[in-house]
Amino acid sequence: MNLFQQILLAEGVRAVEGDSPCSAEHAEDQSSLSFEQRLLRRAAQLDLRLQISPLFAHFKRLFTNLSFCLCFIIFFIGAGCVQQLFFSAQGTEVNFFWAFALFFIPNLLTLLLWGLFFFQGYTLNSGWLQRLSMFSLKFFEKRFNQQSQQNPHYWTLFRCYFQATFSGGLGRYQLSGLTHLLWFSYFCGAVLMLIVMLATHQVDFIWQTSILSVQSFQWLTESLAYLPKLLGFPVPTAEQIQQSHLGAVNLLNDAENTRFVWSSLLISSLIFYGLLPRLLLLLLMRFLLSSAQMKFNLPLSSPYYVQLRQLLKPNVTSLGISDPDACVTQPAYHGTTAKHTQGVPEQFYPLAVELSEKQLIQAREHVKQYAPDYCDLFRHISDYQSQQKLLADITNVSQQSVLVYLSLQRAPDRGLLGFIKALTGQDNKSYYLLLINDALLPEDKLNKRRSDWYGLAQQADISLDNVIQLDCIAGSGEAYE
Amino acid sequence: MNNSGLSVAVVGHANAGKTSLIRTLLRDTEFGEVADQAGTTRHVEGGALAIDENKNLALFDTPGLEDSMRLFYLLSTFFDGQSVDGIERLNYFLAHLSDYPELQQEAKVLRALLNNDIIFYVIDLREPVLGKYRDELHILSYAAKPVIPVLNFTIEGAANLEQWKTQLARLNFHAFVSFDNVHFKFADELKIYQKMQTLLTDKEELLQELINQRRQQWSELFNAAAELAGSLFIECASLRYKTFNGEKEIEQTTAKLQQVVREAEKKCVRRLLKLYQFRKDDLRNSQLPVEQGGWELDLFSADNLQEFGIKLTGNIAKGAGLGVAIDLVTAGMTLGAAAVTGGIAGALWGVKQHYFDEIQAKIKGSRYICLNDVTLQVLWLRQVKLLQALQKRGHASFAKIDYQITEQRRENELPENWSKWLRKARSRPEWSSLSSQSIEPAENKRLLFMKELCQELVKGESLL
Repeated sequence: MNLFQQILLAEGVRAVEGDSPCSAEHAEDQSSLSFEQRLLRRAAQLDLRLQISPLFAHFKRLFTNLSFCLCFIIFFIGAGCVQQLFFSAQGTEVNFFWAFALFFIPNLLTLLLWGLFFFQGYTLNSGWLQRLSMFSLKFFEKRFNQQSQQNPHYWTLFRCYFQATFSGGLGRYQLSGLTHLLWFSYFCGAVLMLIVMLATHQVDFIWQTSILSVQSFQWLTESLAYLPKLLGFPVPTAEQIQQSHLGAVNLLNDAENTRFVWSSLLISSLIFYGLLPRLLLLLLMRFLLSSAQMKFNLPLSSPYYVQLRQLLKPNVTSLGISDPDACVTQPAYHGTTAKHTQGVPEQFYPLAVELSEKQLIQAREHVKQYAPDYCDLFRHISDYQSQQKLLADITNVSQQSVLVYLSLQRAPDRGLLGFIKALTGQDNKSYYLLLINDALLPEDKLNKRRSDWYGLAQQADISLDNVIQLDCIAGSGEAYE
Repeated sequence: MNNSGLSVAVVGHANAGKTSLIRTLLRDTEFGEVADQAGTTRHVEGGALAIDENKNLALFDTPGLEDSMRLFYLLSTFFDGQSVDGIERLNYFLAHLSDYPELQQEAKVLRALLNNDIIFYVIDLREPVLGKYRDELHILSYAAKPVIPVLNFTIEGAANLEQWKTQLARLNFHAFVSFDNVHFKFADELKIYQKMQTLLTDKEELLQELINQRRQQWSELFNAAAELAGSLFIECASLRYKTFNGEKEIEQTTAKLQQVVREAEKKCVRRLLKLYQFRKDDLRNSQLPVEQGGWELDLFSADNLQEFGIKLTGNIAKGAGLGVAIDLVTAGMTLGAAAVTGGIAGALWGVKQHYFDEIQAKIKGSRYICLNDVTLQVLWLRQVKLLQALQKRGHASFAKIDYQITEQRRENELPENWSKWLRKARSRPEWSSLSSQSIEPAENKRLLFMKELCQELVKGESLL
């Protein structure tokens, strides 16, 4: 299977899977492969189950067979046209230029039409030619292949295959190649029949005109004969051309020779100006088709392939745990999370721990309101030095209750726990935690955070009744609830 | 140290958003454990972003520095006040860790600092600058590694920004970046890598490769998402069902239409979530309000006539072209009759193609039912809103994505070509795979239309 077939297979898998890829399906180690390589391998793996490649081979055969079928028909049409021309010709005289034009002009016109379509890719790919081709193939398939219904994905794959091969550059070269093949068959039929007819019939070639000059015909014939003459074909001389003009008196006795050279010119003209160019174009299209097949790419930016990339070659890998936790963690607090807003002791030693400036103002206001005599003692603990100083001083504090102002929105951490524990372990004072709520957290998070603080209180041997919440209305630093 | 790429230790205080940062950078909702609680991450865990086949950017999540004040105090007391480099102090501490069992978590962070190429220090901007954070920064400076302070929660903590900037500058950390895990901006992610480039000059090319790759992936992702949303619009706008004029039949068909469109939207939304690697339940359920409208053939609408005109001319030309070929093959004996017949046949085929279904339905007492304008507008706006939400969502976010359309005018702006699009899509029932009519998804005009829709979807949103 060449690369193009593998890519086509991947497209087939995409057609079967539809919107999104189902699974990665890779057994062996593919770490060294690129995404495209993995993709093709996956398609090959899935092909074993989905049997896509036999169907694609069948579609290829179908197209080839139909093309040859058409070639066969066209071959006979070409032959039939020559026969028609010679039978319809009155007497034994055939107008050389009319005979030549009859084959050459339609060919030239269709060649121009093809050139227009070919170089204006969009026109050829606008869909109608593709649809027409697909319709014809589908018609034949439905008519003559009764087994087509057996595979549930048959028509999906049929559409996928021909959409890929009939669209874009591939379609352009494929259908162009077919056009040239058909005309090649037409000329083959015509040339063969011409040889047979001329071999078995005696025909005198003439030429005639009503409005053109004799000189122009002379020039036209010589131009036409230039290439065959160059390649060794016998062609009429200037005298023979003049003698063949209708009404001219044949002064030469070599009528047989004249018939031969005119026949030779007709055959060689059909070969050099009809058959050969089509053959060359056919070969060119074949070459371009195989180049286009080699350059054929998957639409990797489509949602399907973007998703598949995430599955097959995720750009993220887990490196696992490199330094595991060996410590036994403290169980989380699962008790009540109900808030207490009452219970501030009458006399207390005020402390603030790690508050923001705004919270500090709120705390000071609170102290002023509930313990105005201790405003001067109020201190804010925000670093290690102040912590150590407080721990050294706390035994000298005369008040039995210590009220610690904390921020409810901050998650209590091990450092803070250690400090509070060190504080409560100093003497027999009653400790209160006053949690300042700035109303910045939503209710569900607030409950969770309150629970965290209760957990800290529990670990620091502080009664949960001593954990009090101070609700400050957002936007005001002075209002308490 | 990561020899085949680059390794980063992501450190910070407890609950600052370290794991969230890594989740967002890796686009992995399953990485580590995220909770609104201190001490959620208790071990060092890594994830890597592949740069190429052999190189990657490894990100290591670490436990929070919960007791930095004590740690810093200990580090400064080592070597009896002698002038010793910070790194020596860190090594000394790690060598004597058994003396400080309560600082096991901090030790893990210190090991990560020493083992990686660069350090991201995540700061919760909602927090004021406290002594413990200053101590953390001091400890980081001991590791002798480049440090990038990453400011998280930039919107909620905007008031503290200046305070933090000043503090960082005082400690010689000038190259900080803003990266909000909740309000994600891809440009911020790139800024992190660019900042890394300036700090790690020997890894500049590698990081440039990473930046290019991430840009490409982001662009691909956005375009693929826009394609999904655009495809949904085409599917729904070109969808129509034929039904008889009876009340019951219309009701049944309308119910079918509603179900099919809702299903299509659900499917599209699921695919979008999957594409952006979010969880299914990240979305707030909201049902599309589907209303039906009657399909009316407007013979004299400008688009219809223009389209018909073009098609008719094309069909005449094709028919006549075929006729001319026949005339020529018959050696002109048909006297051009084949060309004329072909032209007429082409014209008739064009008329049939364009109006046959509608006229037939009218004669037979049937009608076509399709989605009304308002429903399609809501559908479009919901997809636009969802795309914007997905673009700006971090992978650690727990808030549900809401893509319900409100009455706010600013949000509900329809594209300039809306009416044209609607007419175009509605004149192409074959573009919808939701109806029983056969679809040709790769049809060029549909693809071009899709491209136009995608451009509109992408236009409003910068890829950066």
